[in-house]
Amino acid sequence: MSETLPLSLKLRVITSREVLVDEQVKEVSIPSLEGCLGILPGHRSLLVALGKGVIEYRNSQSKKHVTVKGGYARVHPESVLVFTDPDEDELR
Amino acid sequence: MPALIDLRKRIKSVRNTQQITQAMKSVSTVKYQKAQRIVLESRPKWHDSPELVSEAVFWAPRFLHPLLAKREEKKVVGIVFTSDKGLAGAFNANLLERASAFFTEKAETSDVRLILIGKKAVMFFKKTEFPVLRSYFGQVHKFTAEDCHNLAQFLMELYVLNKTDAVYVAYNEFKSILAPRVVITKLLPVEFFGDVEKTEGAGEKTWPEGQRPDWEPEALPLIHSLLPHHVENQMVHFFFESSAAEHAARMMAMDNATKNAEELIDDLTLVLNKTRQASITRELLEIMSAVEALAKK
Repeated sequence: MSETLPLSLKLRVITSREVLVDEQVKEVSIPSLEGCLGILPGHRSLLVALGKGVIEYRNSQSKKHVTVKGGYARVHPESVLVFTDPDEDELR
Repeated sequence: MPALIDLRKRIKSVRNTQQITQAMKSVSTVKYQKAQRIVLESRPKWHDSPELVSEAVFWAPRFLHPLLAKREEKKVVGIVFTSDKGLAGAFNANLLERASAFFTEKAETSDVRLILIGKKAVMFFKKTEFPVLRSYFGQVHKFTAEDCHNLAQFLMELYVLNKTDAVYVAYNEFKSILAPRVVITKLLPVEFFGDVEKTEGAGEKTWPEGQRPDWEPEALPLIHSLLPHHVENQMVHFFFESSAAEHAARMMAMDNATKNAEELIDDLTLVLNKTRQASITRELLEIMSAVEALAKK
């Protein structure tokens, strides 16, 4: 593709009760059914079913993570949209 | 001139009514706040997940899942969400009017059957000739997300077994506290989601070929798990929107009733005072004239 690659991803993690994450990130890793998927800006479009695991995301300052179980995600070159539910067992 | 005692009675009775409407307002305020919280918390999911599903549906081959198969609309199922109780202003009336117009139009070309939720819908459609598949009479307040899921399962079964060709839902969307918005939308087959009346003719949303997504895992298992989940989710969405809108509408209606009662009491009190004053003046005049008459003797 001749287009320039985007520099960041808009990550939105939405659960049935709230919007868990809504920010610009540099990198995100999501737990698919068959293992972790690392996603960088400019990733090709993807529709993913999620398993149980950790969504890790990093922006220029910090690295954060949320534990989730199941759900679906849609990846576009400049955005990642995740529908999931938090894993209650992991909540302290 | 009305008698004082009658006026006092009327004021008392209006005041009693006012107390009742005030109490009903407080009750619906509490219920409304609860329902509103659920709606506001869950809206991001309800409003954004159709985007993901529409995209998945757009790229998935039509034959992949029976819920995607588009058929000529010969047998239509309509779902109408109303409330059990009245006293909520035009909440039910508006919805029923629109729904009945919509389904009557559909009935010209197809065979319409209805699923009715709420006493008001059941009473209303009793008078029409539409056959009713299921009705939930006086159970709206006990309705849960699980019942929505069961209903969604039932509908999907009907669709998969070719017993219906399309499912439409009419409900009140909780737009603002002042007025709900009547929405009629298509639940099955799963396609582009939106207001039927608004999007008709506008065509489905499309994505450029360059964005054809990969599936992870394969398209088939993903679509298989996504679609039922989505349909259930939509049912829950419709129900809670309708419930929040109902409580908001009732709250407003009761607030207006309380205000009207207050005005009525003010008017009646004025009349009461005038009448009382008039009778006092009359009595005084009678005494004065009697005194004068005596003095002349």
